[in-house]
Amino acid sequence: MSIPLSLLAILSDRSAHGYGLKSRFEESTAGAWPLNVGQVYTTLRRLERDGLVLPEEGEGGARQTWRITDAGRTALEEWFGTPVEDDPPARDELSIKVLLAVAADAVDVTDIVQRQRVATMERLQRYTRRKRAADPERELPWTLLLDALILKAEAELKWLDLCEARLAERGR
Amino acid sequence: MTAGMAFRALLRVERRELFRNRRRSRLVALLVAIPVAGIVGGATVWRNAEPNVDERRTREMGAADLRVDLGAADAPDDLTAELPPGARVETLRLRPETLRHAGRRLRARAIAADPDGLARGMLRIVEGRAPARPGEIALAPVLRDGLGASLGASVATEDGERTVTGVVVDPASLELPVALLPAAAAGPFRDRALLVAAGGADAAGRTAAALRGRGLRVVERTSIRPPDRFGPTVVFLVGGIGLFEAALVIAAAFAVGLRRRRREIGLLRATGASGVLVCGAVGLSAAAVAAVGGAAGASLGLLAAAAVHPFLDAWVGHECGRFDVAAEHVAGGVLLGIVAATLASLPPAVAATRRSIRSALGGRRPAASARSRGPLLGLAMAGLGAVVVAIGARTGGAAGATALLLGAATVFLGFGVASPGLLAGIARLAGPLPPAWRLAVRDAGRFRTRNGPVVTAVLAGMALCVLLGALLTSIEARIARARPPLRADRLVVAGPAAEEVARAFAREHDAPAPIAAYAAWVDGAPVVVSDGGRFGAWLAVGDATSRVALDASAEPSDVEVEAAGGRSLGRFTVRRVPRRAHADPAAVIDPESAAARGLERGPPPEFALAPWIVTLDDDVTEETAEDARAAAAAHAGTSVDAAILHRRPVRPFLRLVLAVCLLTGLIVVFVATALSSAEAAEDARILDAVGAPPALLRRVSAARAATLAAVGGVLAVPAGLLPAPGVLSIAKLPLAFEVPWTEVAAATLLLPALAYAGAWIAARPGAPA
Amino acid sequence: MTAPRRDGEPLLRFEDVGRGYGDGPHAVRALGPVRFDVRSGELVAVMGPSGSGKTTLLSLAGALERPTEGRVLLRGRDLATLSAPARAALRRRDIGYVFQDLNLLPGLTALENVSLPLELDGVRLAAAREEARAALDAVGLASLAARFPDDLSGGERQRVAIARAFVGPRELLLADEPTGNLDSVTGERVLRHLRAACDGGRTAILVTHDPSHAGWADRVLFLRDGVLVDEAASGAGCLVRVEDGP
Repeated sequence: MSIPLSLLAILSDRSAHGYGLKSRFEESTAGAWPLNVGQVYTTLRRLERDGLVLPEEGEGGARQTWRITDAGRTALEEWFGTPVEDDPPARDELSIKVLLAVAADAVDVTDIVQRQRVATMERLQRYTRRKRAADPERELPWTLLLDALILKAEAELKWLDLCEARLAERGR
Repeated sequence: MTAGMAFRALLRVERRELFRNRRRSRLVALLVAIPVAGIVGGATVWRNAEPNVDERRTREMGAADLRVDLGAADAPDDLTAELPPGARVETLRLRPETLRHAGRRLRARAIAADPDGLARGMLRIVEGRAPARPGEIALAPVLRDGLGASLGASVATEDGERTVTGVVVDPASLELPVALLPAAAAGPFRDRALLVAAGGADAAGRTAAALRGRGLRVVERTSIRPPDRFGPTVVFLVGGIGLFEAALVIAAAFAVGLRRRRREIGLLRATGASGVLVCGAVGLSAAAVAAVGGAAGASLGLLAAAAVHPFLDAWVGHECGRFDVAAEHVAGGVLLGIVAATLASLPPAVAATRRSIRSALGGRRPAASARSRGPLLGLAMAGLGAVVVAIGARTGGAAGATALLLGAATVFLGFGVASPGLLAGIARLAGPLPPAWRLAVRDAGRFRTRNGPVVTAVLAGMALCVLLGALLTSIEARIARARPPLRADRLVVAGPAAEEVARAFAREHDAPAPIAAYAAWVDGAPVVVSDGGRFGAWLAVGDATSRVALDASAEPSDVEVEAAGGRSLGRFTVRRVPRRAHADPAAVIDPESAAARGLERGPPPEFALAPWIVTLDDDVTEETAEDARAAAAAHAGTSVDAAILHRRPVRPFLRLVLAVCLLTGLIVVFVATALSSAEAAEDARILDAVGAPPALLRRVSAARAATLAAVGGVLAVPAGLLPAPGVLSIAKLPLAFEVPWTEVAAATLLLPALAYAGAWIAARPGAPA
Repeated sequence: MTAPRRDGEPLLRFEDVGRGYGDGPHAVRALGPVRFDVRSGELVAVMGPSGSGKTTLLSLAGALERPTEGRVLLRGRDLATLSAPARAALRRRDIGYVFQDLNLLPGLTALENVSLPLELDGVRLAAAREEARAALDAVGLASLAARFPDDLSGGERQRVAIARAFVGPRELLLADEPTGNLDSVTGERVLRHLRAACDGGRTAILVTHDPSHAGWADRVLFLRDGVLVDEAASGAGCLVRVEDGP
């Protein structure tokens, strides 16, 4: 996740000052990424150094507004135009746990899978309950984020189903 | 792949389809078999029941070439002069006879003849032997049974005791009470006829001419013509419409199969089989199944005809002879079946191949095109069909019969084409109906295109029944008008022995003396009718009762009337009498007109036979009428009429026709309901899930059947009446168009009711728990 | 959202219910034994791979089939003791069904489809239609009441089916993959209506193999080889084990 490029994306719409940038970033990402203002200013200064943003004329300090430069727009277009690369092979705890459990025959893998399934399902239910409360019309980013989370949980559940099915096949 | 190879491949596919879809193949074969069985069986029975030309000739004059009817006169002495050398002559003598045995008494017609001579075939000994010596007699079965006189018994005749030597029948009329006396039997005889074997047709013709020249009434063997083809034509017409009905159901059956095979046909066409080849293969498979069904139907029809043959004699009242089959009836029936089934399979095949390959492979239903020109097109077709019927009625012959069949089928098809629009209209109005009916009516509307043929088939059957009903009622009305009502207490006896029978009957029943119809006289000579220049017979004077007795026409007409001497009396308004025997009058004039014209009236001329009228104290009962009939039957050509005998002769037949049409209509509806059961299964699951009581499913399928039956039945009324005037015009008689409204209304109501009841019984109750 | 009511006797109770088919060497046990309760106002999802007995479970709950062992109790009444007409009446008055597709009678309009159970139950036509209209309104389809199913989209058809399943006094809905043929957004709209109905006090059992759909449920029952292996409850951090695996 590139915070500098995210800020550039917000500035490409219209100029903003530091605090405005922080709140608009959090709004767009449905609060999934809390930023502190200091982080925003550090990033802005780095972007100014690279010639991607410019402070606008007028008052300085906290009310200083920033705008995107042409070089900034080019960099942004390049970022939007590049598809997100696949993550490297799973290195998350769940995958590791299941793979190790399969390797160590003594552990009841089915039990691990089932426990995980219930846990993931409950996570998914929590996300869904939040989505229930959300209005997909007015709270689009929030809804989209929840969709992403739900689908990730769903993918995890489907992977668990697959693990179980393959284990059952091997056991046969 | 060449077209030939492709076609062979397609045929293999179709053949496999026939075997895989055994139920449908059997249904198609059955649908062909039933009407073909009807056609072949009906035509064969008719052919056997109707005497052929040889039988007719034999019954009229045995083995002779000529028959000379002498009546009460003796044979002229010099008759042999007119006969060619080597000619044989035998005399046939008749008289009424009263037989008594064991306290029972029966009237008989006694005939003295040699049943092994020239009269061979006019009378037949079926048991024992012919009477040869004086004092012997052979009796008809009715007499033997009525008297209880078995072979060897002695019966009393008017000239003494005679021994029964055998059982004799008149093959032309099995119920006739004939008693055969030895050819040489003595005693007075009332009527005589000469049978002449002239030796060759030429000699017979010359002899006949010579005898006629002497004023004798001569019947030639060759003048008796073969029967017309009216019967078989009617059978083919009715059977053809039956096949038309069957064809529509066959079309529906093929449509169901082809809908199921939508993807397969799409696949075949995607692999390069042309639509024409696919249709050809489907048509050929239909023809193959129809050939099997047709052969089975023809066999069944022949078997049935053979099975009823032994009972046919008793049924039609004359001997039907050996069982005889006409190859053209069998071949015609089977061919008609094959053609009908093949033609029926083509429209669904064409429809299936005309769908785009993509939509066929996708398995989607094509968007239903809203066709609003159905009703208009249908009515136009109906009108065209009525015109074709009218033309066919005028043409006559085989071409006329074909035109009649085609025209009627076009009328029925026209109303059938209009039916989907009607179904859709009814479906729109179904909102307020209870759920079962609403579902049924809406389904009928939703599947209107596939229900169209079913409705048309029902319609065709019922329309045929309306058509026949109108025809029969019109004939009946004509008969009723031709016979003005008789007084209930009167019996009219007509024929040679009318006076004798009437007097005897009046005596037995203590009735006043009978009266005769009077002849018109002028200046002491009978009045004769000069009909179109030809010399006619005497003019009778009589009231309505006499007119009935004489079977006079209903319409009075003006004819030239003269005195016996040739003096013209001018044109009179008279009622014509059909010339049945030279002794009958030519016309009847009412007493008032006779008086106005200055004609006298008196007993008829000596040679003539006038009807006699018996007036009883009470109304004539069935038994009295039967008694009088039996008495009259003892005399050749004598008949009895009474009001009680004027039953509506057509009604029972009409009811039978209606019943048969109802039955075929029901079969069609049930087959159609069975065909659509697969589509109803989906609805059944939903209804079960929403908690429909198990009976609702039965009610829906019953209501579905009733809806189709009702629509078909209602449309059948106009469809049947439209070609009716055309068909009526075939009859030579001027028939007024009459419709048996009560029966038609009853059938129209009964059909849906029976369809409902039948489908209700047929539907399996409820889903398993 | 209102919390599921947990008081009183359960609306539906499966008491060690099993269902087998055939006998002898060909005998197959499709379900069971299973034991669980469904309380009023709950939306319970049943998940499991194909052939795990989900649909059998639903058929038993809807009295479309009888169990071969155990008892299915609806408000304490054993469904197996009911006659066929009584079970049909049960589906008219107490239980609504929603299938994956082909839920509606194509010969009836949306409104008539919804009012059908009421009409079958002898409710006067006008009253039945009025109630059906309200039910359609609840799923946001009042404007399409006069349409025939063929003229509705897949999602609309499923919503009409939900309206029908809840029309009148019925409070238990049995849904078998109701969103199976729909795209995600349309499927979600259908589930929202189902959820809203349950939040309004109705009860539903939702059979699905799609985890994101099961996520709408208050509880998720996991079924494998005919037995319940686990249960997930939203909001509950812990897991409640109901039955052990085979």
